[in-house]
Amino acid sequence: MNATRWYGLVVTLIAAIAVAWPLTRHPLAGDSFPLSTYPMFATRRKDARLYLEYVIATGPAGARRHVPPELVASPEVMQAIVSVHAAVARGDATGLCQRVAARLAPRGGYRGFDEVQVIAGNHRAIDWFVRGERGTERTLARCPIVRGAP
Amino acid sequence: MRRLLDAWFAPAPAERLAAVRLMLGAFTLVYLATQLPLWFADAQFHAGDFRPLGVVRLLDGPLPRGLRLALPLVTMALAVTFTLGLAHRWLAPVFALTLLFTLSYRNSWGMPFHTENLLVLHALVLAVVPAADAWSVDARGRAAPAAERYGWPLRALAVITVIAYVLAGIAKLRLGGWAWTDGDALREQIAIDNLRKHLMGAPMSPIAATFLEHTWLMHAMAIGTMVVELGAPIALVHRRAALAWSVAAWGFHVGVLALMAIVFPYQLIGLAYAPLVRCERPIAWLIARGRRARLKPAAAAE
Repeated sequence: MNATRWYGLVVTLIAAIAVAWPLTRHPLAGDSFPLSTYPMFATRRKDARLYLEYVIATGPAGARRHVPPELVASPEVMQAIVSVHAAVARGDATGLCQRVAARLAPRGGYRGFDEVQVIAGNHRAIDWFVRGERGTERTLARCPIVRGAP
Repeated sequence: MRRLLDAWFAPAPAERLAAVRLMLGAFTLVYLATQLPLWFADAQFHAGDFRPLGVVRLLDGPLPRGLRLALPLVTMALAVTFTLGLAHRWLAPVFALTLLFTLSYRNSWGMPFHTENLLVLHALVLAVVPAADAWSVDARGRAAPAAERYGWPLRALAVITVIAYVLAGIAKLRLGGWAWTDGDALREQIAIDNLRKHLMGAPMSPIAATFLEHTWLMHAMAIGTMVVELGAPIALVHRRAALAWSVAAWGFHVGVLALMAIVFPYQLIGLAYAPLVRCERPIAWLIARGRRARLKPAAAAE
């Protein structure tokens, strides 16, 4: 075998073994980057139950809007979810609420809203979409959207 | 064994490997540019959320803001040299390692994205192979003849793609067994993902609710997913099988986009499957077309 072939074999084997290496780990606990176990969509979620903390803006006459991730923490939904959960877990729900309220205050699109709430929701996702059934919600923090004098 | 080795080291045109380099480099540049707002979103990089992954585990804690903002910018600059094929032997490894660190850092904030793994893994291989012997500054217009040193890197890239899909299938089997193919797990995942997006105020799939009502559709999609993932090695057997599998895998990602609004850009653009097909042809066609367009005015002037 010539040098090209030896080099090709070594590089290919290193790459293949490295990419397959996560097989030696648990699919969920052993996930990493860029060597991944690729566990996405693999697990059962009993009753499609979803516990989630999220942020909403509310206003008079029952107006309600879910605040988008980029105004909560990050343009990435999943990273925003992690940030909200981490804030709640460290007892900073009120701080998060106030930070989001401050971001909404100057935004024209939120003129009709006067309060921000951090919510802990418990929903069954399939029931939500197929039967239109909402689960339960608990308010963890609420704070006003304070706008400056005109 | 000898036949296997000969097949593995079958010659390929330098342009095919160069095409993969060109497309991956350009993709990285555009991808990182579109991700820049994310890097500037300070709220996302709360120190308490730092969960280092991969090479980022070498860090004691989050990077200072300035260094964090420099990461994508430096990687983009290196992506330009990589795309141009400039000093490939020296700069390509630097690009690949920088990309590895940059995207590992981005994935170290509580949620690893499985949309970027293949991009990084392919870049790491391209960095150590002669991917700039054609269509590059290094080549300066010289045409390299087809050779075995351009063939095996394409197959190595293809093997990486194939293993990634097989791992995804094995993860489903390890966590859910063959019962995963009944479609219930997929149905639950689609429902949860869309509800999560809705509750977080993000765009969700406009058609997911309709699909969730039909369990037989979920069953069929779960079987299809498993066939694509566990059947990936067929792409290494024959060129036509590779093309058929690439189309099926691409369709799988279109389905994920349609039902969960999750974008796998590297796969959806087709770059993950480029090493499996004659990917140099569209670029060669564009170059030839460009040359003809340049020659026409000259001919008209004569």
